[in-house]
Formats: sequence, C-alpha cells, structure tokens
Amino acid sequence: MALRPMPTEAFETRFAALLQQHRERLLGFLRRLCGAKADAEDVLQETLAKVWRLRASFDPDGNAEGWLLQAAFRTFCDQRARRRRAVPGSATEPDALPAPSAPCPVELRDEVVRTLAALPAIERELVLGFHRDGLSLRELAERHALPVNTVKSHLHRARARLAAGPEER
Amino acid sequence: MNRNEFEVRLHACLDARTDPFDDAELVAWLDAHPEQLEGFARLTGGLHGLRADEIAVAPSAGPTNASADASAGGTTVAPADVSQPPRGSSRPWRWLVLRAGLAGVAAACLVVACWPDSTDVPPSERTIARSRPVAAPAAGRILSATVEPLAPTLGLATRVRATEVLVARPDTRIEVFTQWSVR
Repeated sequence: MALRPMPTEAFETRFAALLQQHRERLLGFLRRLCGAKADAEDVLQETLAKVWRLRASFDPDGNAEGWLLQAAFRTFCDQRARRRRAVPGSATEPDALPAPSAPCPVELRDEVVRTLAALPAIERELVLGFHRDGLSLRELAERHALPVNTVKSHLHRARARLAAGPEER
Repeated sequence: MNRNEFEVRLHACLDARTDPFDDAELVAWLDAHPEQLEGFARLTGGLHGLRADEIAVAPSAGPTNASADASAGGTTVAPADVSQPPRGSSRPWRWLVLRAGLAGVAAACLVVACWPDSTDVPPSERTIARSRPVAAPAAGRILSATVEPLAPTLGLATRVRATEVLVARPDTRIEVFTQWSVR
C-alpha cells in the first residue's frame, strides 16, 4: 500500500487559506442546524480541527465546499448524538428538531420572516399553525375546511420554500 | 433513495413530528449528497425560527388568516402582497427616530403657520378673519397622513398603516388663515 506523502508547507498554507475562505459559510450553515450561535461556533471549531487532522486526505481538485459541509454535518451529528447520550431519556422524546439551547438568532428569524411574508396566505397560516402553534394536521384541516392531504401538500410547499435559497424563492 | 424519495420521507417525518436526525437513512442520504446539505440546513433553521415563538402574523380579514394574532414583542409578518419585504425587529430605535422625526416636522409646520408675517395688515377691531394663499401643491401630493403600527408590538412592529391621508386635488390651495379677536 502506497503511503500518502506528508503535506508540504505550501499545501498547508493553501489549506489554511481555504478554511479561512469557507469559515463564514460553514458558520452560517451550522447556525441553521444548531439554532444557536454558541453551539454553532463549538461545532465549527471541532470541524476545523477535524479537517485539519484529515488535511492529507483532501483532494485539491475536488469539491472543497462539499467536503467541508459534509465534515461540518458529520461533526454536528456526532456532537448531537453525544449530547443525547449525556441526557438520559432525551433520545426517546418525540421532538421534530433538536431544541436550540439559546433563542433563535435575529438574522435567522428575519430570514424566516422574509420567507413567510412571500408565502401565499394559506401556506403561511398552515406552516405557522403546525410548526409554531403545535396544531395537528386534523385541527388545521378542520379550521381551514380542507382535506388533510391538502393541508399536507400546502405544508410541503411551504417547507420547500423555507429550504430554498434566496435565488430560488 | 433518490431526491424525491428523500423529500417524501423527510416531510412524512416532519408531519409526524419526529426528528429527521433520528432517521438513519435520511442522515445517510444527506451525508452522501453534500449539495443538499445547505437546503436542509435552511429548512432546519427555518423551523427553528418558527418554533422560536416570536413570529406573529399581522391580523387581516378572511378565512385563510383565521389563526392570525400578534404577540407582544414579536415579529410581525405582513401578507405577501405588500410592496416591501418586512424588516427585522432588531432595530427598534428606527421607530424612535421616525417618531421623533414626525414630531419635529409637525412642530416645524406649526411654527411656520403661526409665525407673524410683517406684510400682514395689523389687526383692528373690524378684522375678524383673513386668509392668504401661500402655496398651490401639485395634484396628488400627500398633504398629511397619520400612521399607526399594524399591531401593538411595543415599538417592534415592522409595518405601519397610513390612516386619514389628505391628498391634494388640482384645485387645492394651502392658505394661512388668521382670526383676530374683536375685543
């Protein structure tokens, strides 16, 4: 088996610059996943330390952004699993998303508000009713005189808008 | 699992209020498709934002807005058909500046209107009223308007509604009107 050569100083300089270049984007990505800035910064630090250790396996001709996002996602999943193990019983609680440990950042909330404002009224009402107010699909269907499957379709479209980037909305 | 199957499974998971991260297949698919990670993160962040219990909808008529309410201190979401996107609630000082500005403009108008004009004829016992045209505004120009927040949000509202708007017509003239006491 051929051994991978040790990274040269020039490679390490370029790799450090690459991490610096993608740092803000990774932080933004992690803030959305974590919900809280402090948690996101923790995961980011762990991610950067991890990819630095793995720098020899980095392919400069490959998709650097995808590689870094994947590393950040894996680190987030690992940290989340560790936290769940540390809190007995939390793994069995029904919870659609991991609860953020701090209030939603203002920028994130503003982004959500902008997306909601662009939604058709019925989709906005349904997504708020379901995800903010905790109403069931059946309750929403009765409230808006719609079949449950139609409520689901509206919800799916509204979520797709939340997932879309600004250029896709 | 292709992308459509992933989305169906993800929405089913969210509809059932279960955590997508507890579904190993969903996580594995995302891990294998890093190009989908940012969209998934935006959705996750958006749902965090919705669950932050700080999002309120501006009250409006119609059956589709049945659950509209406005929470104090929250962020007001205006309907989609308004011309400007809502701004963030992170700048409540803008309201103070706006209110101070409006008060300043009103005070300046009052001072100008009441300022004694040296060209006026001095009042006499026979003068009980006098008017003098001072401007002919262009038709359609808004002469005055009262604004109020769309919802009671302790100064954090991001939308205002104009009420009692006075618009100039083609024949509108602005006059300074003076009434002197006969005593």
